[in-house]
Amino acid sequence: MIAQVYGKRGASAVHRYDPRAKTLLLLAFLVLFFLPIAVGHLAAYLAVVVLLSGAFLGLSNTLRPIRMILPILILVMLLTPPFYREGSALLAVRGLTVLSVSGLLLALRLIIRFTGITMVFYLFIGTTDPDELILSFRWFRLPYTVSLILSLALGYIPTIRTLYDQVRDAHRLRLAAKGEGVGEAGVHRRGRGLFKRLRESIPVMTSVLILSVRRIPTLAMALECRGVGRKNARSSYHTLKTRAALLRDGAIALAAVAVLVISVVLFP
Amino acid sequence: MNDKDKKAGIAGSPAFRIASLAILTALTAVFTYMVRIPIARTGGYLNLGDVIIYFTAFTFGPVSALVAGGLGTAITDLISGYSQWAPISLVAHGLQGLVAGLIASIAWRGKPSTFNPFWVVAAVAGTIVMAGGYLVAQILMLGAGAALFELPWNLLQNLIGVVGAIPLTIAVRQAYPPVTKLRW
Repeated sequence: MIAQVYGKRGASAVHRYDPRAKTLLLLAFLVLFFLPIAVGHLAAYLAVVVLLSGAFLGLSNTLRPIRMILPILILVMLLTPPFYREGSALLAVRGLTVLSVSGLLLALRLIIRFTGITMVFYLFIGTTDPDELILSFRWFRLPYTVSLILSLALGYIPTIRTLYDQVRDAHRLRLAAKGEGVGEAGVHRRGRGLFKRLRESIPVMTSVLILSVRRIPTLAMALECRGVGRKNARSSYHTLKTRAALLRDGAIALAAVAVLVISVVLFP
Repeated sequence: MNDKDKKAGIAGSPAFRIASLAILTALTAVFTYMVRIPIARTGGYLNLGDVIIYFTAFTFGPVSALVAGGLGTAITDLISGYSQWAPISLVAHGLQGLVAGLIASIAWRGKPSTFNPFWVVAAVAGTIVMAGGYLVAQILMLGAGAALFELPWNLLQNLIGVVGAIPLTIAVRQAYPPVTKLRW
C-alpha cells in the first residue's frame, strides 16, 4: 500500500535533482503559464515540459496525467468559446456568432495553461521523494511542527485505510448474517438513492472515526516520550543533499529561469 | 507538560495537538481518496472528505479543521495524481474548515451529543467559502465556462458533507463521549 501510494523513487537526473532547486523551477514554470504571452509561445514552453517529462519519465508516464485531465480539457474547449464571442466570427448561425477567433484562442490558452500546470506538478511530485519534499519544505522555513504533522499523516494513511477495510468487512459480515448485501465501496447495495447510500455508510464511518480518534492519546504519549514539544532543536534521520550539490543544482535552476525570462522578453 | 498544559488537560500539550492534527489529516485524506459513493449511471464518484472536514470542525474546533481540511485534501491531490489542485485544495478546504469551525463554536453550550443548530449555518458558510475558492481558481485556470460547469458538483459534494457530517458527529459523540474532551 505504501509503495503503491508513495512509490515514486527513481534514478533519473530529474529524480536526483535537488528538491529545493526543483521547487524554484516549479514556481518559475507556474508563473510562466499565467503570463499573457502569445499562445504559440506558450505552446512551445508546454512542448519543452512534455519533452522533458518524456525523456525522464517515459512516454506512458507522460501521457498518464494528460489522459486524466482530458475530460476537463474537452470541457474547456466546448464551454469557453460561447462565453467569448467578440472579434471576427469563425462560425455563425443566423447572424449569431457561435465561435470567434478570440474565443478559440482563449480556449487554446486555457488548455495549454492547465496542461502545463498539470505537467510541471506531475514532474515535480512524480520525481521527488516524499521525505526529501518535507525536508525541503523545512529548509524553506516551514515550522518543524507542520512538517511533523505531514510526516505522521503520510504514515497513518495506509494504517487508517487498512482499518477502514477491516471495519467495512466486519459490517459486511454482520449484514450477510442477516441476509443482506453490501457493495464494493462499503455502501449498502439495497439503498438506491445517493443520500440513502450515504446514510447506510454512517455506521462504518462512525466505527472508523472512533477507532482512529482513540489512537490520538497513544500517539501523543509516544511523541512526548520522543521529546516532541520541548524547545531543543530536532534532528532528522533523512538529510538533504550536501551544500555543493545544492549550489550546482541551484545554479542550473537559476540559469534555466534566466533563459525563460530572456525568452519571454524576446518573444512576448 | 508545563503548568499551562496541565490546566488545559491532555488536550493542551503540544504533542497531543500534533497527534490529533496528524490523525485527523490522515482521516481526511483517506475519506477523500479512498472512500467514495458511486453516482448511479454517470459512472462518477462523490468522496466523503467533506464529511470529515465538517465532523472535525464541529467536534475538534476551527484550528483542527483548518489544518486537517487543508493538508488532508492537499495530500489526497498529491497522491492521486491531481497535484495541480493541491495548493487550491489546501486553501479552499482549509478555509472551509476554519469558517465552519468558528461558526459552530459560537454561542452553543448545549449537550455535546445533541444537534447544534449552528452546524447548519456553519456548513452553509463553509460551502460558500469552499465552492467560492474553487470557482475563482477554476476561472483562472480553466475559464468561466468550465468553472461554472464544475460549480454544481462542488455544491453537491458539500451537501453530501453536511448531510453526512451532522448524523456522524452525533453518532460518534453518543458512542464515544470522551471525544468532546479532545477538543482544544
